[in-house]
Amino acid sequence: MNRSLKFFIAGSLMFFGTCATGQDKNVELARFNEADSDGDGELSLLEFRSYVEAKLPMFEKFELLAERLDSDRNDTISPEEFGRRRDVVKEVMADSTPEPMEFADEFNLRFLKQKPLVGDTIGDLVAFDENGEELDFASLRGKYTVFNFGCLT
Amino acid sequence: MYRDYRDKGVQFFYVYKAVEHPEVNNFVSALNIEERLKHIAHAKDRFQSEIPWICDTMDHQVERAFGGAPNGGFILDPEGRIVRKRFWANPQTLRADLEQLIGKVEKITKVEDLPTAFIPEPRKIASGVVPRLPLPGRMRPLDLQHVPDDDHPFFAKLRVEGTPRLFNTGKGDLYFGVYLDPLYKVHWNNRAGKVKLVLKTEGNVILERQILTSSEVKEDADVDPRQFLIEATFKDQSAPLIAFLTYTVCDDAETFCIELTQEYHIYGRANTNLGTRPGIFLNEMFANVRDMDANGDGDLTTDELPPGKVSMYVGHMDYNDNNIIEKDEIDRFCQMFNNGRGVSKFNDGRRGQK
Repeated sequence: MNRSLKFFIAGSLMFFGTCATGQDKNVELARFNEADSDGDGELSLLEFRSYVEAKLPMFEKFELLAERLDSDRNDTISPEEFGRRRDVVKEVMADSTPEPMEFADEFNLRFLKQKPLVGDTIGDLVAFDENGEELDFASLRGKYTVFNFGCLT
Repeated sequence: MYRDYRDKGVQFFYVYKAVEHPEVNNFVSALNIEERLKHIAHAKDRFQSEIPWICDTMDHQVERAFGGAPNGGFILDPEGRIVRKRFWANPQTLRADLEQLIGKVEKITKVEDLPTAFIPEPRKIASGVVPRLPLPGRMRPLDLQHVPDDDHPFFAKLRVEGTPRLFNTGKGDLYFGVYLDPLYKVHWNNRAGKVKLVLKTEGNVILERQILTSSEVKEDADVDPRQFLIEATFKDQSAPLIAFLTYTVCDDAETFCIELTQEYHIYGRANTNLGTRPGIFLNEMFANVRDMDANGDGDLTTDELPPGKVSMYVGHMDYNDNNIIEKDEIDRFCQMFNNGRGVSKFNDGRRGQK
């Protein structure tokens, strides 16, 4: 997990778990009710996942979190189990060995999510060839094409 | 890679999008397609490369269409669909991608199989004779438009940069660098006159000085940039500061000398397409590279490089692809910068940072 991701989750955790460390049980109950969309008094794993994804969008270890929280193994999260979520998120994060990601990999991962995406077709585009003649990118189709944008200076 | 895959249904292109780091190898930003094409011709000659080039439009349509990555790499399939994209391309991942898409080749072309790069003879005009101005750190270029001159090229080109404070508050240090474009092989004629920059504003910019004149230079001719640093306040970023640059140059072959005045419009907003000088990005990315040599043997192995930045250092400096950055590779890398005047000047630049 890279440093910025950890920073983001740590920041979000303050919001995610404020009620869990506080004394205000009403706030804690309100959080649980917010997650309990069908109002049956317990959280299905789907409900809990939705809650976690909304509060900690960059947290990637939901399965581990749910497994550690669901101490009675009934595939639901009770209010008591829900109350321990902040500590368990901390444990899960502490267990994940920080592996420094190569800067290029980090940028590449982010770039993959930006347009144009893999699978997109490069649309109408006209530039110049090295002789200054107009070059239509559509004319390059028919072969695999490698474009290198590296900075040579 | 090109030699390995060109006969296997793969075409390769370098894409010229901009001079990403002005001053490296003396290059300055091109003002038009013709100058970009000259850069391309120079690169082909210099690297003895057969790979064809595509030159982006001056309004960066290709760069934008491909997402604007500085060192991007893309593979498109025969239908024109993107099948691989990298923000920071490197040969190893490209080869792995091609092996996956096309298949492995029997014999991989090695660096020693390629023609030797052509090293042009150094020019005989004096350089390094005008002391560089110590500049504040983290300066960024301002948006700058030249008023085309139908009769003459812009032999000298203006570069204007501001400090972060200037962009954030409108008030800060404003740097004017006047660089000779090596494409034209001209030099300053110091006997004929100094470089002069006259700044005109209709009240939208408050300037410490409006006329900037270069210092006396002992040599009759030289190719060093002329630099000025003043304080400025932009009240309106959309209204231009108008600059008239007057200079006298002669060509190295001594066939002409000419005095010109050329006009630029400068806006108080940053332009990310104009690249960063090595004095800025080198300090941020490659400072203290020699201090990383933990065992003092002169070479840098991957375990001596900072975690998370191994590929950056290896990618930029490991010319012989052996995963070790040897001392001569560090020297070679640093030598590219600061108009080729090398490491000591680079270090001087670091001390100049505020």
